[in-house]
This record gives sequence, C-alpha cells and structure tokens, in this order.
Amino acid sequence: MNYLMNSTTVTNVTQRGSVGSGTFHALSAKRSPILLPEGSWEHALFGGLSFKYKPLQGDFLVGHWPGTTRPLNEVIAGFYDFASQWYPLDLLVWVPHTSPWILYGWSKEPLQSVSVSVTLSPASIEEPQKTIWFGWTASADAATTGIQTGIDQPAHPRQRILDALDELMARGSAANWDGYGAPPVEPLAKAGAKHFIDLLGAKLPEPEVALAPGAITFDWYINPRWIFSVSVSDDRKVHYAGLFGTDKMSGTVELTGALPEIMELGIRRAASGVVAESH
Amino acid sequence: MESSQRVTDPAEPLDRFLFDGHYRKSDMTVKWQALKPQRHDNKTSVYLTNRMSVAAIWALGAQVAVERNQPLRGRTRCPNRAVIIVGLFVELDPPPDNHACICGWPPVEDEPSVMEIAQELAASCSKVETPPPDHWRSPE
Repeated sequence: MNYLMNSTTVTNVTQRGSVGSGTFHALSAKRSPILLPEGSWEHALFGGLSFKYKPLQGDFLVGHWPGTTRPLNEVIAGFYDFASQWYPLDLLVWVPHTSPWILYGWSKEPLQSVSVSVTLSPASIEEPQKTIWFGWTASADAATTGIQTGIDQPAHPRQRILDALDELMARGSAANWDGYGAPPVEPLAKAGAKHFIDLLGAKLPEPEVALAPGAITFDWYINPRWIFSVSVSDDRKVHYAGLFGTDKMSGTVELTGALPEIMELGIRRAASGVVAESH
Repeated sequence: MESSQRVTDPAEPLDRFLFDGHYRKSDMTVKWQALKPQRHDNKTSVYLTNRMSVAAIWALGAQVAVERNQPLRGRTRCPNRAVIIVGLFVELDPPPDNHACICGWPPVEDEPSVMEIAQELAASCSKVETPPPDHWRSPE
C-alpha cells in the first residue's frame, strides 16, 4: 500500500476522551479501503458496536449498529478499544482529515504507517439510521516494523478470549485484585471458564471477559439494559442472567459437553440487539 | 444493625470507586461486576457524597486507593432510589462517617439472582468518570 507523508498538527483524543495536541507525521492513504461483497468480510460485536473487518489484507472497517444514535465520541472510543487489540493504544491518534476520509490513527514513529480511516461526512452524522463504516489500513511495511505482528491475521476469536482470560487470571491470582478484598480467582473457575469457551464455538459472537468476586464472567453487551451475562466459579456449573429492556432471565445450568440451549438463546438475543427485536 | 443507620433518602447519591477495569471504555458504562458484593460479607462498599465537591470526592477516592493499595480507575454514581427499587438497602458503615454498604443481597449461593440485581443496578448508574490528572492533590 502506498501512503503520502504529511506533517500536521493534530488533536489527540484518547480513549478516555481527554484532549491534547501534538505534531506528528500523518499518513494519508492514497486509496480508500475497498468495500468488497459482504461474504468477504468478517463481523464482530465489540463493546456494543458492530465491526466489520477483512484481516487478510490488513484492512479493517468499523461501523455503527444500523440505526444507532450513539454519539460519535462513543463510536470513536469503541474504535479505540477494538483497534487496541492489534495496535498499541499509544500509537493510535485521532486526526480530523478532509472529507470524505478521516484518518484516525497511525504510528507516531516515522515510517511506521498505521492509518485508520473513516467514511464519515457531516451529512452522515445527521443520518443516524444509516450504517456508517469506519476503517483503517495498514501499510505493507507495517508487518516488518514489529509494531503490529499479527495485523494480517488477527487471532481466532477463541484464542482472543483465551488470551483475555489469561490476562485476567494473571491479575486475579492475587488477593485484593479489585481493591475491595476479593480473594484470588480459583483455578477451578479458570478450568470451568475454559470449558465454557470451548462450548461457545465459532458461530456465536465474542463476549467480553471480566472478573467478578469469586467468578470469571462473560458478557454479551449492547447497552446497560440489553445484556446477557454468564458467571463461572467452578468446573461443574454456570450461572446466567439476561436483561433485555424490561425482560429478565436468569438461572444455573450444568457444564456438560454442549452449550445449554437456554444460553445460546440468551447470547443470540443479546447479540441481535434492540433494533432487531423492534422490527 | 439498627435501622437508624439505614440511609433512607432516595435522592442520596452513592459513589462507588473503581479499582479494576470494571467499565467499558466504549461508552463509559460501569459493568455489573463492579457492583457485585464481596463473598465474605455480601455487601458492596459505597460512599455518601451528597455535600461533597467533585474535588473532594476525588481526594477521598485517592485516599481510599492508598488504603486499598490499588490505583483508582474511576467512579460511578448511583442514587439510593435505584438501590431501593431493586430491593436492597444502604447502611452506614463508618469509618469514615460517609462510608456505607449496599446490603440485602441474595445469598452468595444464589449467583443468578445476584447477577440479575447487579445488572439492574449497573443500568441505573451514571457514566463512569475517570480521575483527573491531578486527583491525588488535596482539594483547595
């Protein structure tokens, strides 16, 4: 991929929304990410935003859930979360750019081109019903910089969940990991969580993994009132709770060789979102 | 615990300090896991912050962080009304004078009910605010 090099003063919006400024070498893509037929792209639900990406060519597209009215700054924050799975956060900066393309991030280090672009124009901001796709591209030489190994082939979702679990276990292995005196997470909980991850398979959306006092948890989250959660505290059973508007569901099921049907229903209901149910 | 220690004003704001990454950076919402009670006492620690300035709340959070030996990641606020609606209650639990606990959770063995209530409670909480860069300073 070819890029033009410019030097520009930018505003840096971090994931926390704090604002700073600095001068960086911007990389503006000569070409826009190319939208290929739907089948060529992979989809993921992450932080309540629908992401669409095609990892093999280093292109990523990030999009609103159709019909979302979430403010742009939340979409940007969500993008940072998603992109940081592959790109170190401190190498991503937000850069307003001339319409229709807006570069969202690149390496601060010269010649290490990580660029992120968005097909968002003022007109499309006014049209919340329209699906708006964001994207980024990585340069051909990015793979040789050592910054983003794996950019061309992101880890399989199952591996990503396992990696997240390992990271959490590293933190949760010490007492008081939450600052409120929580005991270390039990090895049995990890065993149960790994078993549960195996049962999820590849067709279900990827959950958020987190620790809670005495448990490892999985969330499928759209918004605070649209969420399905699973809690694993040993290798024998799993607990679940779902909040779908005013509807609730909860219970406990045995951890066996297959994902319990009630859980698949809860996961799919959460992932399908509020919009899907309102139609 | 005597009922006189119960916090009855539905409008009383309750602040929960976050020492773990229990919020979503995508929309700054608190996760239900942040509100789940500890297993050893089945309570959720909060602070009554009604008459405190923002700077004083952050100073308190910084002090608590030192005591708990964890970095302060943020705070969220939930009105006592939301606690009452889900069938729980708040009791004072000094020190300090404005420390309190959300009590009345289902038994720890009833994890699904605990999760359900924690989800409801999280949905009623404010967006998470992260500490200002100078939050460790004393309020003026």
